[in-house]
Amino acid sequence: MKMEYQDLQDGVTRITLAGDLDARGAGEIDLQFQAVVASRSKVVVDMEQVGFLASIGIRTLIQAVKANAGKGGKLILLAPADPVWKVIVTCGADSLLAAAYDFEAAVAAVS
Amino acid sequence: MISRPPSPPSAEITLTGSLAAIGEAGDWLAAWLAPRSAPADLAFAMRLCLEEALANIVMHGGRDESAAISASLAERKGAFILSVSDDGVPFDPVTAETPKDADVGGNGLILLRRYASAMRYERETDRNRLTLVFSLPDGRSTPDR
Repeated sequence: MKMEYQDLQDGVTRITLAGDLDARGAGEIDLQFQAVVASRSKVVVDMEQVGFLASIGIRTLIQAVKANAGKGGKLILLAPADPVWKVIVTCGADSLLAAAYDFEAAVAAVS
Repeated sequence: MISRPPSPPSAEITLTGSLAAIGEAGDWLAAWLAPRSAPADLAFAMRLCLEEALANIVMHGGRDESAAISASLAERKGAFILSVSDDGVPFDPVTAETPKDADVGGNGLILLRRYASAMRYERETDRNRLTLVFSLPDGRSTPDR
Protein backbone atom coordinates (compact mmCIF):
# COMPACT_ATOMS: atom_id res chain seq x y z
CA MET A 1 0.00 0.00 0.00
CA LYS A 2 1.18 3.52 -0.78
CA MET A 3 0.77 6.62 1.33
CA GLU A 4 1.50 10.20 0.38
CA TYR A 5 0.66 13.39 2.21
CA GLN A 6 0.69 17.06 1.45
CA ASP A 7 0.30 20.05 3.77
CA LEU A 8 -2.01 22.49 2.03
CA GLN A 9 -3.10 26.04 2.81
CA ASP A 10 -5.17 26.87 5.89
CA GLY A 11 -3.57 24.07 7.86
CA VAL A 12 -5.27 21.26 5.96
CA THR A 13 -3.31 18.07 5.31
CA ARG A 14 -4.36 15.67 2.57
CA ILE A 15 -3.22 12.08 3.02
CA THR A 16 -3.68 9.89 -0.04
CA LEU A 17 -3.83 6.13 0.44
CA ALA A 18 -3.61 3.76 -2.52
CA GLY A 19 -3.94 -0.01 -2.46
CA ASP A 20 -5.57 -2.43 -0.05
CA LEU A 21 -5.97 -1.57 3.62
CA ASP A 22 -5.72 -5.17 4.77
CA ALA A 23 -3.30 -6.82 7.20
CA ARG A 24 -0.42 -6.35 4.77
CA GLY A 25 -1.34 -2.82 3.73
CA ALA A 26 -2.09 -1.59 7.24
CA GLY A 27 1.26 -2.94 8.39
CA GLU A 28 3.00 -1.02 5.65
CA ILE A 29 1.54 2.40 6.41
CA ASP A 30 0.35 2.33 10.02
CA LEU A 31 3.41 3.87 11.69
CA GLN A 32 3.74 6.79 9.29
CA PHE A 33 -0.02 7.28 9.06
CA GLN A 34 -0.46 7.55 12.82
CA ALA A 35 2.51 9.92 13.11
CA VAL A 36 1.24 12.27 10.40
CA VAL A 37 -2.33 12.32 11.69
CA ALA A 38 -1.28 12.87 15.29
CA SER A 39 0.77 15.93 14.36
CA ARG A 40 -1.88 17.64 12.20
CA SER A 41 -5.21 19.15 13.17
CA LYS A 42 -7.19 19.20 9.91
CA VAL A 43 -6.81 15.93 8.04
CA VAL A 44 -8.46 14.72 4.86
CA VAL A 45 -7.74 11.06 4.12
CA ASP A 46 -8.25 10.46 0.42
CA MET A 47 -9.58 6.88 0.14
CA GLU A 48 -10.54 6.93 -3.53
CA GLN A 49 -7.73 4.56 -4.51
CA VAL A 50 -8.33 2.11 -1.67
CA GLY A 51 -9.94 -0.98 -3.15
CA PHE A 52 -10.24 -3.17 -0.08
CA LEU A 53 -10.68 -2.67 3.64
CA ALA A 54 -10.53 -5.25 6.44
CA SER A 55 -11.05 -4.91 10.19
CA ILE A 56 -7.36 -4.31 10.80
CA GLY A 57 -7.59 -1.32 8.47
CA ILE A 58 -10.64 -0.03 10.32
CA ARG A 59 -8.61 -0.22 13.51
CA THR A 60 -5.87 1.86 11.87
CA LEU A 61 -8.40 4.52 10.85
CA ILE A 62 -10.14 4.59 14.23
CA GLN A 63 -6.89 4.87 16.17
CA ALA A 64 -5.94 7.80 13.97
CA VAL A 65 -9.24 9.64 14.27
CA LYS A 66 -9.23 9.21 18.06
CA ALA A 67 -5.65 10.44 18.43
CA ASN A 68 -6.44 13.38 16.18
CA ALA A 69 -9.64 14.25 18.04
CA GLY A 70 -7.81 13.98 21.35
CA LYS A 71 -5.70 16.93 20.27
CA GLY A 72 -8.69 18.92 19.08
CA GLY A 73 -8.31 17.97 15.44
CA LYS A 74 -10.73 16.76 12.82
CA LEU A 75 -10.30 13.94 10.31
CA ILE A 76 -12.55 12.97 7.43
CA LEU A 77 -12.41 10.28 4.77
CA LEU A 78 -12.64 11.45 1.17
CA ALA A 79 -14.48 9.42 -1.45
CA PRO A 80 -14.31 5.89 -0.07
CA ALA A 81 -15.55 3.36 -2.64
CA ASP A 82 -18.96 1.87 -1.92
CA PRO A 83 -17.66 -1.60 -0.90
CA VAL A 84 -15.11 0.02 1.42
CA TRP A 85 -17.68 2.29 3.07
CA LYS A 86 -20.03 -0.68 3.41
CA VAL A 87 -17.41 -2.48 5.53
CA ILE A 88 -17.18 0.56 7.79
CA VAL A 89 -20.96 0.82 8.14
CA THR A 90 -21.34 -2.92 8.75
CA CYS A 91 -19.02 -2.64 11.75
CA GLY A 92 -20.77 0.45 13.05
CA ALA A 93 -17.54 2.38 12.64
CA ASP A 94 -19.39 5.15 10.80
CA SER A 95 -20.20 6.47 14.28
CA LEU A 96 -16.52 7.43 14.52
CA LEU A 97 -15.50 7.87 10.88
CA ALA A 98 -17.12 10.46 8.62
CA ALA A 99 -16.90 10.65 4.84
CA ALA A 100 -17.25 13.34 2.20
CA TYR A 101 -17.40 12.83 -1.52
CA ASP A 102 -15.73 15.92 -2.89
CA PHE A 103 -12.61 17.67 -1.69
CA GLU A 104 -14.22 21.03 -0.97
CA ALA A 105 -16.81 19.42 1.25
CA ALA A 106 -14.09 17.47 3.05
CA VAL A 107 -12.07 20.63 3.71
CA ALA A 108 -15.17 22.41 4.97
CA ALA A 109 -15.87 19.52 7.34
CA VAL A 110 -12.46 19.71 9.01
CA SER A 111 -12.20 23.51 9.06
CA MET B 1 -11.82 -20.81 -30.61
CA ILE B 2 -9.28 -20.68 -27.85
CA SER B 3 -9.71 -23.29 -25.20
CA ARG B 4 -8.21 -23.07 -21.78
CA PRO B 5 -7.34 -25.85 -19.40
CA PRO B 6 -9.94 -26.18 -16.67
CA SER B 7 -8.85 -24.70 -13.39
CA PRO B 8 -8.78 -27.14 -10.47
CA PRO B 9 -12.18 -27.35 -8.77
CA SER B 10 -10.52 -27.21 -5.37
CA ALA B 11 -7.32 -25.87 -3.89
CA GLU B 12 -5.48 -25.96 -0.58
CA ILE B 13 -2.79 -23.88 1.08
CA THR B 14 -0.77 -24.26 4.28
CA LEU B 15 0.14 -21.13 6.20
CA THR B 16 2.09 -20.04 9.24
CA GLY B 17 0.61 -17.84 11.94
CA SER B 18 1.93 -14.53 10.68
CA LEU B 19 0.38 -11.36 9.29
CA ALA B 20 2.46 -11.87 6.15
CA ALA B 21 0.73 -15.20 5.63
CA ILE B 22 -2.62 -13.40 5.44
CA GLY B 23 -1.39 -11.49 2.41
CA GLU B 24 -0.14 -14.71 0.87
CA ALA B 25 -3.55 -16.27 1.37
CA GLY B 26 -5.25 -13.31 -0.31
CA ASP B 27 -3.07 -13.80 -3.38
CA TRP B 28 -3.93 -17.52 -3.37
CA LEU B 29 -7.66 -16.76 -3.28
CA ALA B 30 -7.37 -14.20 -6.08
CA ALA B 31 -5.58 -16.72 -8.28
CA TRP B 32 -8.29 -19.33 -7.65
CA LEU B 33 -11.11 -16.87 -8.36
CA ALA B 34 -9.56 -15.34 -11.48
CA PRO B 35 -10.79 -17.93 -14.03
CA ARG B 36 -14.20 -18.26 -12.39
CA SER B 37 -15.67 -14.89 -13.33
CA ALA B 38 -16.93 -14.38 -9.81
CA PRO B 39 -18.99 -11.22 -9.31
CA ALA B 40 -16.92 -8.44 -7.76
CA ASP B 41 -19.00 -8.27 -4.58
CA LEU B 42 -18.69 -12.02 -4.07
CA ALA B 43 -14.91 -11.92 -4.57
CA PHE B 44 -14.75 -8.99 -2.11
CA ALA B 45 -16.78 -10.93 0.47
CA MET B 46 -14.63 -14.04 0.14
CA ARG B 47 -11.41 -12.11 0.49
CA LEU B 48 -12.75 -10.21 3.48
CA CYS B 49 -13.85 -13.38 5.25
CA LEU B 50 -10.56 -15.16 4.51
CA GLU B 51 -8.67 -12.17 5.89
CA GLU B 52 -10.83 -11.96 9.01
CA ALA B 53 -10.73 -15.67 9.73
CA LEU B 54 -6.94 -15.74 9.43
CA ALA B 55 -6.42 -12.51 11.36
CA ASN B 56 -8.48 -13.93 14.20
CA ILE B 57 -6.29 -17.03 14.31
CA VAL B 58 -3.02 -15.11 14.06
CA MET B 59 -3.89 -12.47 16.65
CA HIS B 60 -6.04 -14.46 19.06
CA GLY B 61 -5.27 -18.13 18.46
CA GLY B 62 -2.81 -18.39 21.30
CA ARG B 63 -0.02 -19.56 19.03
CA ASP B 64 3.03 -17.91 17.56
CA GLU B 65 4.30 -18.30 14.01
CA SER B 66 4.50 -22.05 14.57
CA ALA B 67 0.71 -22.23 14.26
CA ALA B 68 -0.35 -24.72 11.63
CA ILE B 69 -3.08 -23.18 9.50
CA SER B 70 -4.60 -24.61 6.38
CA ALA B 71 -7.24 -23.26 4.06
CA SER B 72 -9.14 -24.82 1.21
CA LEU B 73 -11.44 -23.65 -1.55
CA ALA B 74 -13.99 -25.70 -3.41
CA GLU B 75 -16.92 -25.31 -5.76
CA ARG B 76 -20.32 -26.77 -5.15
CA LYS B 77 -23.37 -26.28 -7.25
CA GLY B 78 -24.31 -22.66 -6.76
CA ALA B 79 -21.69 -21.82 -4.15
CA PHE B 80 -18.04 -21.45 -3.32
CA ILE B 81 -16.86 -23.06 -0.09
CA LEU B 82 -13.96 -21.68 1.96
CA SER B 83 -12.66 -23.73 4.87
CA VAL B 84 -10.01 -22.61 7.37
CA SER B 85 -8.44 -24.94 9.91
CA ASP B 86 -5.97 -24.21 12.71
CA ASP B 87 -4.43 -25.81 15.78
CA GLY B 88 -5.00 -22.87 18.12
CA VAL B 89 -7.13 -22.72 21.24
CA PRO B 90 -10.77 -23.71 20.73
CA PHE B 91 -12.72 -20.76 19.38
CA ASP B 92 -16.13 -20.71 17.77
CA PRO B 93 -16.63 -17.58 15.63
CA VAL B 94 -20.24 -18.56 14.99
CA THR B 95 -21.36 -18.12 18.59
CA ALA B 96 -18.65 -15.94 20.19
CA GLU B 97 -19.83 -12.65 21.63
CA THR B 98 -18.61 -9.48 19.94
CA PRO B 99 -17.34 -6.49 21.94
CA LYS B 100 -19.67 -3.50 22.00
CA ASP B 101 -16.98 -0.95 21.13
CA ALA B 102 -16.16 -0.85 17.44
CA ASP B 103 -12.52 0.00 18.00
CA VAL B 104 -11.46 -2.72 20.39
CA GLY B 105 -11.76 -5.73 18.15
CA GLY B 106 -14.66 -7.96 17.34
CA ASN B 107 -15.20 -6.33 13.96
CA GLY B 108 -13.79 -9.42 12.29
CA LEU B 109 -16.58 -11.56 13.73
CA ILE B 110 -19.20 -9.05 12.64
CA LEU B 111 -17.81 -9.03 9.11
CA LEU B 112 -17.60 -12.83 8.92
CA ARG B 113 -21.25 -13.16 9.90
CA ARG B 114 -22.41 -10.45 7.55
CA TYR B 115 -20.42 -11.30 4.43
CA ALA B 116 -20.61 -15.11 4.38
CA SER B 117 -23.87 -16.67 3.20
CA ALA B 118 -23.53 -19.36 5.86
CA MET B 119 -20.88 -20.50 8.33
CA ARG B 120 -20.23 -23.59 10.44
CA TYR B 121 -17.71 -24.27 13.18
CA GLU B 122 -16.38 -27.66 14.25
CA ARG B 123 -13.72 -28.70 16.74
CA GLU B 124 -12.11 -31.89 15.52
CA THR B 125 -8.99 -33.64 16.84
CA ASP B 126 -7.50 -30.54 18.48
CA ARG B 127 -8.18 -28.32 15.50
CA ASN B 128 -10.69 -25.57 14.79
CA ARG B 129 -12.42 -25.80 11.45
CA LEU B 130 -14.47 -22.91 10.11
CA THR B 131 -16.46 -23.51 6.94
CA LEU B 132 -17.84 -20.53 5.05
CA VAL B 133 -20.33 -20.73 2.22
CA PHE B 134 -20.69 -18.04 -0.44
CA SER B 135 -23.77 -18.41 -2.59
CA LEU B 136 -23.49 -17.47 -6.23
CA PRO B 137 -26.14 -15.07 -7.55
CA ASP B 138 -29.40 -16.89 -8.31
CA GLY B 139 -27.66 -20.14 -7.42
CA ARG B 140 -25.94 -20.20 -10.80
CA SER B 141 -23.04 -22.50 -11.44
CA THR B 142 -19.70 -21.07 -12.43
CA PRO B 143 -18.72 -21.02 -16.11
CA ASP B 144 -17.41 -24.26 -17.63
CA ARG B 145 -18.91 -26.42 -14.89
